[in-house]
This record gives sequence, structure tokens and C-alpha cells, in this order.
Amino acid sequence: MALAEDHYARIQKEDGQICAFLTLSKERALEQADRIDRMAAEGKPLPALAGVPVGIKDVMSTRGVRTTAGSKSLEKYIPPYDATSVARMEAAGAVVLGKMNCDEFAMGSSNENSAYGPVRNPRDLSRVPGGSSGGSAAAVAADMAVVTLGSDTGGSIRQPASFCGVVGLMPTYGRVSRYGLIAFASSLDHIGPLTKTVKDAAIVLRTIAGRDPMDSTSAEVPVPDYVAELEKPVRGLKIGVAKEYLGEGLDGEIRKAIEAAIQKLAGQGCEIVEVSLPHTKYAIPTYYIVATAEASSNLARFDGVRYGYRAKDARTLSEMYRRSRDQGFGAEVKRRIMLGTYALSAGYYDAYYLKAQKVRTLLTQDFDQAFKKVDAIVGPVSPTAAFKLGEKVDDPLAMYLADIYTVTADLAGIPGISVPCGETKDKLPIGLQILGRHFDESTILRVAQASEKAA
Amino acid sequence: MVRDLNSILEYVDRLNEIDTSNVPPMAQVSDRYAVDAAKQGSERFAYASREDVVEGLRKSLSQDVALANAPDADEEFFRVPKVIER
Repeated sequence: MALAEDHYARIQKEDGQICAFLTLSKERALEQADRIDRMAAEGKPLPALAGVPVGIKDVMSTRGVRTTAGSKSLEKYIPPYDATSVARMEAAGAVVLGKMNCDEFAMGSSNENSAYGPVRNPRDLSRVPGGSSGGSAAAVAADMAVVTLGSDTGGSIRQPASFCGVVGLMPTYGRVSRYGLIAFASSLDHIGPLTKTVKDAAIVLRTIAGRDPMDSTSAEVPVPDYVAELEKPVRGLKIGVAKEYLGEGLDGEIRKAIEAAIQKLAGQGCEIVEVSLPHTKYAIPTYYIVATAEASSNLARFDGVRYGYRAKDARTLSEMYRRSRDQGFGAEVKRRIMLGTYALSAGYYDAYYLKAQKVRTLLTQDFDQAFKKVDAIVGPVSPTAAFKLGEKVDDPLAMYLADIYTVTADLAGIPGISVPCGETKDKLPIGLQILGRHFDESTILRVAQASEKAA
Repeated sequence: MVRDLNSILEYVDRLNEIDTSNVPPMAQVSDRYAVDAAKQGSERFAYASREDVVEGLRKSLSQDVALANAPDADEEFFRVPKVIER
């Protein structure tokens, strides 16, 4: 109880500037904290996350607590049920403090697409926290929550984690149930934790992973004890370095930090092996076709009938649909719906959508080949450190290109983690990305922890 | 907006540099397991289909709960503007 109240006091003090929270769920939090306190007083065994103050990205449904997805269209939406990941966190004793700001429908790389205003980076308030899970990363960085849940469709957990200097884990596709997640691109959406330490990420993954009958894409794969697995040594692991991830476009300071982190892994007995992911330069165009196509379909549900924003005074049903969507969605969401609709339209389906699906196969085969030779692949998360607010808002393509090192893992469905590995001379955090085989979170967590200890 | 969309479409045209005539499309990550029987663990996603059940996995929402978020509803139905213009 005291811990939850401390965090609310801290949110009160800090969040006026950072804007990481959209909604506080104080009643629900204090009720849960009280329940945990009573369990402790009665001497009952406490679950793994007992009393841990957490934040939930506002794309995950919380029963009775407003869930906006960062969109005006869901300004008043109160879900009638909990997302499975939220329910599992609470069942493990976590105290849900509130809902985290994010880009609208998780579409963005800077958190500037939120209808409720941008989040600021706690390390430098003139800079973005990254996106789309910007509030989730900023809250952990500013000690307003111990753990947050984010979602990653093209890098939305790992990139803000790297910009804010925290740990961000995107599990394998199918590892964590997405029941109750407001869908953006269903073949790419993942839920995962943002934390201060790699060990905390392992504890949270152990809590939320595993088959859920409510999500047919959740995998029937046993959940290992990720925390125990962290004890295994990294000596002897083969670590791949993809030359395509250290080439043109990568900021010099980031490159130096990544190379130093790789040297430290070598110093701990990892064998460094050069690998190639030859189709990397096609990842962004592939991603922005697949993701927008799926988004155009998923977002068709926001019609102003059953829930969400409805335009006033429309005379006919079709006018009501059109005006509700026009007024309810922001510019980036509309841009993506239009791109996706275009890519799926009769005359262009083969040229865009089918083409992108085929290149997706090639991108995935790149990883299949690489993982025959190595146990994990390390590289940068983002080509630059956190950029200034407003720096890229007028150029959507420039914003998309910043996702170059993260979208590949989403397309292939493999897990990835971002762990802090140093700072730029301006004291901005740099993240090391570690990618692994399908369902092999244990290895990337282990490598991440080795890197964390060496940093 | 038109300028942005055009520059994005121009950019994605670079996919045509690659010959994909013999490459199968990938719609889902689970395709990787379901279609490739030789791949270890290909049973992993086999459960994705199940028998039909009359009562779903979850009870349906009650009518009042289902209507609670509606911008306009009476006690039984969602209300919308007229569909056909006279």
C-alpha cells in the first residue's frame, strides 16, 4: 500500500512535465495493494509480483478503467473486460497504477501521434521518449512505475526502451496472449515488458507468457523458468553481428557503443561471428505495406455504433461513419488506413500486398540461415539516440526509416530485447538489441544480462 | 497528405528490385511452422483450430454491458441515423 502511494506521489510530482500517464486507476490499485497487505499480514505466501507498481500501455483493455489507445475516437471507452496479460499481472500480485500514453493505436516512433499530447523523455525533456510505447518507457525511466507493459508491432517496445535507457523485451510471436489488446496489425502485434533490469523482464515474461484459450495465436509451447535460465553462463555462446545493421545510416556514436558492447561479450567468452541478413534494406517497405494493410482492416471496427466517437448531427448512416472516422482519427492513423486500403485494393493487391508477403518470407529466411550459425544476433536498436520533439513530424517517411533495425524481428516473429549499453556525449541512452530464435527468450535474456553487468 | 502518400509509395516500389517469382507468401508467423513439416516444432501451432462449441469460451456480454459504451442506444438496441434517405 505504502509503495503504491509513494508512486502516486511521484507521478503527481513528475508527470506534469513528462505526461507518461493518461489515466490513473487509483481505486483499483489501492484495493489490490490492500489485498496484498492483508495476505502479507496473514503470513500467506506472496506471488511473484506482490505489490509491484505497474503501468499498462493504453492499448490493453482494463475492466472499468478508461482505455483510449491514444486516440480521440476512444476518449470515453471503458472496456468490460481485462486483457489476459493485465489479468495475469494482477493475479501475480501487481498493482496497476494506471494507463500509459502512447502513439494513437500504437502507430508512431516518437509518441507525438498521441491525441493527448506527446510524452517527454525523462533524460532530456526537449526530446522524444520514442514510440509507440513512449509513456511505458518514460514511466520506468522516471521511477513512476517499476514495470510497464508495452506493445511492439515494428519496434514499439525496444526503441522507446533504448531512447529512455531501460530494458524492453519483445517476446516471440505467440509467446504472450494478445486477448484484450486493441489490434493494430495482427500478424505483427506483440505484448512485452519494460523494466529497469533484465531480471525483472524475465520475471514479468514468466508471469504473462503461455497459452491462452482466448487467443488462438498464442502458442502451446511450455514456458521455461526464465529467471533460473539467467544463471547459465554465456561462455561459449555464438553471437552474430550482422554487417547490414552496422552500415550506412548508423550514427557514429551509436556504432562505437555497440562495438564496445560486442567486445565485452567477447571478453566474457562469447564467440563473435559475422552473419548476413541480405534483405534488410527491404524491411521497411515490406513492413509498411503489411502493417498498414492489416491496420486498415482492424480499424474498420471504429464506426461510431457500438463504442467510440460518433460525429454529431450526421443525417445518414454513411455520413455518420465517414464523419466519425474523419473526426475521431489523427493524421498518421488516416495515412496508414489509406495506404493499407490502397495496398489491398483489387488492382494493386499483387503489386503491393502479395509482393510484401513474399519479401517477408525472404526476410524470415535470412534469420533462419543466420540462426543456423549463431545463438543470438546483436546490433543497434535505432540508428540514432532520442531525437528532438518536432524534428521528424513533417516527414513521415523519415520517421518510418528510424525503425530499420527493429521491424525485421516483428516480420519474422522472433524475440528481441533492448538493453542499455552506454550514452552519447550528450548523455542520451544507447540501447543494444539482441535477437534470438523463435521461443528462445532464455538465450537473449542471458546475453542481455551479461551485457547489462558489463555496461 | 497526398505528397506524403506519394513519397511513401515511391519508396516501397524498391521491392520490385527483388525477383520473388518462386517465393511463397507469408501471411502469418505460424505459416512458418504449419506449412513446413520438416521444420522441428511444426506441431506448435496445430492447436489453432478447435472443435466448434455451442457455449463459447467466454459467456457473452450481457445486453446492458454490451450497450454501455454505445454513443446512442436504447435499452435493447444500438441506435443509428437512418440508412435510407427519402
